Amino acid sequence: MSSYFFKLCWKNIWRNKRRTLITVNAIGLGVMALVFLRNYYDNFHEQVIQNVIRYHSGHLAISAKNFEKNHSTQIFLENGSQVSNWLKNRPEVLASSERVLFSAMLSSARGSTNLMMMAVEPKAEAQVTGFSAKVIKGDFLKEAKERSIVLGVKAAETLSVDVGSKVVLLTQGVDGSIGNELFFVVGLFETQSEADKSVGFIQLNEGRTLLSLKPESFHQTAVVLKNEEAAVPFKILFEDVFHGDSKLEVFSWKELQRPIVAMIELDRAVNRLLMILILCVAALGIANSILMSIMERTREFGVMLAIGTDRKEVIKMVVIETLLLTLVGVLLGNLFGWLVTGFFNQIGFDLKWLTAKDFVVQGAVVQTVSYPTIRFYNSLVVTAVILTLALLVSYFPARQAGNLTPMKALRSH
Amino acid sequence: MNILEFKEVSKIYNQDQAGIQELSFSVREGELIALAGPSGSGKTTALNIAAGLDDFNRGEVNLLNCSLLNLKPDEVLRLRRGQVGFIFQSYNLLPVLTVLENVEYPLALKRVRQAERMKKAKTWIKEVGLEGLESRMPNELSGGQQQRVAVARAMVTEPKIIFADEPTANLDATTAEMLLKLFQRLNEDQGTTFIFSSHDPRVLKFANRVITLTDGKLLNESAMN
Ligand SMILES: Nc1ncnc2c1ncn2[C@@H]1O[C@H](COP(=O)(O)OP(=O)(O)O)[C@@H](O)[C@H]1O
Ligand SMILES: [Mg+2]
Repeated sequence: MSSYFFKLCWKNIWRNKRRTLITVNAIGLGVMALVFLRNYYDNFHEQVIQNVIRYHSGHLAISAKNFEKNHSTQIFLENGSQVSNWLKNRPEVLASSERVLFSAMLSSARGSTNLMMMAVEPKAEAQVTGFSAKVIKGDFLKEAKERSIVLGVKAAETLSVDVGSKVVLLTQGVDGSIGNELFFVVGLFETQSEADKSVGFIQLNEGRTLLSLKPESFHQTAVVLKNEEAAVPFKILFEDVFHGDSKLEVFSWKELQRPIVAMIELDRAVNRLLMILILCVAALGIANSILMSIMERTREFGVMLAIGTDRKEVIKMVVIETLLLTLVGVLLGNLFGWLVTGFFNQIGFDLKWLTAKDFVVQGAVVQTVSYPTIRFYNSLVVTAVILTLALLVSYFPARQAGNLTPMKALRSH
Repeated sequence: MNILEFKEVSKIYNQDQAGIQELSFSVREGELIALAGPSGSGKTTALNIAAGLDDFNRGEVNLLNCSLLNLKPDEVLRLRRGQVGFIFQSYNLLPVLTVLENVEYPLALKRVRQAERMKKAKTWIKEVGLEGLESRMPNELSGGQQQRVAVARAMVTEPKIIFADEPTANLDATTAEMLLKLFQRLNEDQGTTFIFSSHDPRVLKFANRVITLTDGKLLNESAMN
């Protein structure tokens, strides 16, 4: 179609400005909302995933068989050095951290609370999880310092303790003995998540002593890879190498965090449904707008047909008018979608507005504030879907126009 | 040579309503013909059939040496694009286009390049006496001016024959005369055949020949000077 007919189509869609603007607005608002929501959710989900990896299990967790299922301190690897040494020599591995995990009751002079204790090698743990970077007071664990403990700010608040305070840790060893020890708070971390209330760190060897575990034994080693995509192949490789060892199991973060993965998948499904609903409403608006404009122009089509316009050209014109109209809305919608995304990229978009409480999924860290970024893929998807729908709904008005004969059309007014 | 021949053509609309009945007449190349007769006498029906816009039930129609019965739809379309021009009673122009763009329309259909299109369109706008109004919108023109634009649009492809169905019906007497004088001039200068319908006796005198219909039948043919 020549530029002449494009110009004619363009002018035709603006002959009823009010109607066109209403339709364009409807498309624009729908597209804007969808583009922003998809940008927001993508970022939010990525953040959740990163948090899980950075504050929980790493990309992979290797542990004694059934430990992840039962979380029992009784289930541990007695000789973990074999696994640890193998991991140290793998090029895909960025870092790994052996952990002894147990729950404990902490008491201070003012109170007590239950914590999920992680006994770790400070340097290794610092490479695997982000807690050491979130220490806002004091320091993370140091090798040289004995009986140090690092707590979250909320737990410290409950216990009314600060850096330098003493706390008593009480737990049960794997042999049934009671582990009871005095610790000194050396640092407080703040992640703005559930972990601030519920997680504490001590040295790996002190954890072993408390639980009466032999050296080299641990519950879990968390592995961070250089590349997240390598998680599944690496897991398969590990299972291959250690497949004779029935005491071992390895899980990717997706397997460990099924509720989070499920939440993300549900979110995505809801988003898709929302997209289809919003865009269908927009498409109906488009169909209505074009159909009305066709019916008002019956006589004009008659003149066009009479002076030699092909029926196919009339149909093409209607389709192009529909697409042009949609495109205007789509462009505006994307533009404003990017602006809104950019705006919240600066100030952050807080889900707390909607949930009015902390957002916790199965104790995993979910930060509610997200700084969405513009993702052109999302614009592409929304644009492609609405243009496809516009193409579909243009069928009815196009058929209406295409069925006209010059005679019928000329006799109407 | 006959440019248009009707041979006993009948058109029955639904419910036995006859549009025209066994109508026969012929038009020679270069004539300026008026189709006269009261409202409902079959003028529009005859013109539409002649131009290939409508079908008919009996008889034979030859336009530009082609029998319309034998033409395929795209052949009719090609005929309409190149050889035949149209002017209607009213609402002739596309309201969203300027005068110039309206006149360009048939050339755009024929995929004529823009520079040539504009040159030709401007020539014909000048020819119908509307020079300077090229960028006006149709609703900024008087009825007579709009009809002149329609004439320019019909002439721009330099067709052999132009059909005009009641082109003066919405015009006052002076403007109507001016339009008919334009037909006359184009007919003489370009040799274009014109067939216009009208029930207004005042404009019939501009024709070379008047074909009068009544109840879908030929009443008489009278040559003027
Ligand atoms: N679409 C139609 N359906 C039924 N009858 C029609 C139709 N068009 C025209 N007629 C009838 O055909 C006859 C001729 O009409 P028309 O050609 O419009 O006459 P004119 O143009 O001279 O006024 C009239 O009796 C009219 O009622
Ligand atoms: Mg009529």
